[in-house]
Amino acid sequence: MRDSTYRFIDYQNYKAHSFFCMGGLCEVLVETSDSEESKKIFTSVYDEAKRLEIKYSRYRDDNIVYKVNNSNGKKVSIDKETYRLLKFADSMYYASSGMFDITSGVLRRAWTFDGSSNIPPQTEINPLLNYIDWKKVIFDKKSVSIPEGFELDFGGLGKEYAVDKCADKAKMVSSVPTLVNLGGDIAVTSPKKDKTPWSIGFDESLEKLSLFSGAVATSGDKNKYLIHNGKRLSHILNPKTGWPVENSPRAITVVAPNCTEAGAMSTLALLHGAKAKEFLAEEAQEYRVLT
Amino acid sequence: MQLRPKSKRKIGSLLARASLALICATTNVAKAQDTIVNPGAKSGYFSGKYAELKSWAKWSGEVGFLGYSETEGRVQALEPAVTINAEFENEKVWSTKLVLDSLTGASPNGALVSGQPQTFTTPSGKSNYTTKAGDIPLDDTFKDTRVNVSTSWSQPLSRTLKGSVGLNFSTEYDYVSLGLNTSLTKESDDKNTSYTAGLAYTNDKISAVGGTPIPLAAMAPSGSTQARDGSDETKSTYDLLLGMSQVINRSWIVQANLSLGYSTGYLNDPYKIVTIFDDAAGPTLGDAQSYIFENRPDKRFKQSLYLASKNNFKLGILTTSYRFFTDDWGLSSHTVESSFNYALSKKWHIEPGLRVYKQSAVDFYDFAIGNSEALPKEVTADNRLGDMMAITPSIKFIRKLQNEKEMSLILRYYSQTGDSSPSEAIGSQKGKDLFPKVDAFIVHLNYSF
Amino acid sequence: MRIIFLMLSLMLLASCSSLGVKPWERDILSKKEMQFGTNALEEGFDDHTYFSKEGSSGGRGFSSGGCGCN
Repeated sequence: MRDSTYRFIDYQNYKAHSFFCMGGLCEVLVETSDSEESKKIFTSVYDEAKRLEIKYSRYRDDNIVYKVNNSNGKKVSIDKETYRLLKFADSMYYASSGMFDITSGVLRRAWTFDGSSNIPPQTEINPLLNYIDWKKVIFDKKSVSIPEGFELDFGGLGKEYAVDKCADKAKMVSSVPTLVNLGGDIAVTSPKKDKTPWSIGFDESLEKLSLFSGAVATSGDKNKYLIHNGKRLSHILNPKTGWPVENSPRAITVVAPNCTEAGAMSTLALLHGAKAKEFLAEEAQEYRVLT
Repeated sequence: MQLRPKSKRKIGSLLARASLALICATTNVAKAQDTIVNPGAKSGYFSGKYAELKSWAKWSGEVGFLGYSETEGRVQALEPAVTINAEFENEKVWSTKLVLDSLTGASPNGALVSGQPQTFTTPSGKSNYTTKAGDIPLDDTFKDTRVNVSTSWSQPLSRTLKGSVGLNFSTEYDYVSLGLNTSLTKESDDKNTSYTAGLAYTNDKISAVGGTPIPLAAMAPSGSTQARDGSDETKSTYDLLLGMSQVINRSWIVQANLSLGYSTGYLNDPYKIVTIFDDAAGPTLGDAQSYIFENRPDKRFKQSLYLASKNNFKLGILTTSYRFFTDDWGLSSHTVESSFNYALSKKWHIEPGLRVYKQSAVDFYDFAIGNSEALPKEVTADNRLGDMMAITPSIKFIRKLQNEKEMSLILRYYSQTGDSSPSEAIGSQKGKDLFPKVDAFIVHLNYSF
Repeated sequence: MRIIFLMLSLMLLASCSSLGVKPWERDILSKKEMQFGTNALEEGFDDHTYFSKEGSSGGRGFSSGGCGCN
């Protein structure tokens, strides 16, 4: 394994592979005593995670994101996968009444969430708002075009989507129970061998969550926040004002049949700020809120 | 006011449908990918075998080429090399390296520049060559090709312990070397520290052209009986390496190595001579009179400490290293090297570097011996064991390719200088360059996959 | 033997301090340029070149074996 962040621990009846990807620690837990089987499963998960990291990273100059963000208003051809992601971003835009907008990535030029009190002045934020408007993004099955100065940022839905794709790859190569964890967003391929659920713990409390099948996603401020007037501002920005959403819970964890849905739900909840709990009570089936 | 019944989980069900639409079609994608399991494979026996070979292990390696050229018609070398690594399951790796070393050109024979032309006998004893007055005596009779093959096997012995064994073989027409090495590396649980211990044993056979010269014997003229005893010589070397590396923080890693080496046997250079000059007052003061073959001790104990550091800064990565070397022949040296890797773009990197080397001579080094002096037990005039300094500025261009492959071009300029006018120079030796500079251009071309 | 003493103290220093990073902090360290020994062929060429022009050898690792050049 040429990736130097790769670590492998053999616990006899299950194997743990970990590596660094998508900005966080990722893990693949495979319940088997067969090293070969576990390696086969891990390799397919790793390759898929890396593939998506490279394809949708906004820090590269050789992928579709770069092409689109540097297209100067022209049409760029896309593949089926990118089309489906754009459709999903579109559903998220309308489901959130415009609060979830993947053109809002330009705001990171003003905001740096490093735990300090460095709030950007409004004069820096206002010009960026002219470049945020999902309705101006035009796409179809073959291509996408965005106005000049606009950017697309798949960071808000890429990781949860990757978790689902990785879990699918694991299911395709083996029927052994596998858990895929990409930076805290988790999916399992099946319950454990003795039909018991996977036990998932949280950083901030002793509580454990039991997962028989499906996925868990967490949205929250983790280490990305700023302090302003004694208030903690999360890094989830309101695309209409350019400011962080106020009074949202510190972290929201949602359980759903797949990670994309769980992640979408937790992100939407955060965007409701103080009304997050109300929103979840109405729309989600299983969730945890940390205030 | 009409009460509209709220539909249950309106947004929730919308998200459920949208998510399924996004991640669905995976089975279709899977089927399409199944049929491209062997990209590029055509039907047939050989392509089948190629596919088998490709899937037998995870392959990686390097292909490289070294070009070395000294100024003024001295040594030129061309050295193609290739390393192939095959990684099997459970992190077992089999590695093989092949190097071809083709040397041409002339090299100093140790004799001193003189005010008169000088004639030397070739190692075979059958002919001679002449050096003009004032020129550095160079022996250009050696054109040599060396083949070096090494292979090693490494595998994890436990979760934190890794071991390796290796074999190394080198042959050229007057020198054969066979060596064994083994090492153990232990990593701490958090993988921030690693310790390495290695042992190596090498056995060399030296079959000098014309036979091994008798140490300190006078070089006989060509055509006559040579002062050589016709036998082959052997040399054994034992090496111990203790090393450790430590991650300091997210952007800083350091390494330290302690090396001890002990060589015994024939440690002379059979082609190097020392000038005996006229030290009697008169018109030929300082001129060469005769030449004797050099002699070095038959044991050498070497110690070195190597420290290196890699630091990541916003602008780029700085690598620095220092090596202190000393041995029981009296030689000691300091080597400082530094390079800075700057990313011009994601694909292109540029790395300027500098190496500075300072060496103080072995105890038995002398630029030449006066006629009336008693012959020392050991003496060498080989500049490589004298007081000298070498500076090597360099520049490396790196082009990163797909899948972590990389190509690079390195240009180095090696410049070595020593004491050209030692205070002990007398007579016709004064005013001559008694420690000729070495200036060489070096080119590396490298492709790693 | 000052060298051996210096080496031992470096090893002790490393073992009793809290230096190091957590697994999720290895992003920079995973770069090829931040690792030792990733340019093996280049280092082999250099070691051989300098070894044949100077009186010192090794340091980084085992020199890959005999040639008649020093």
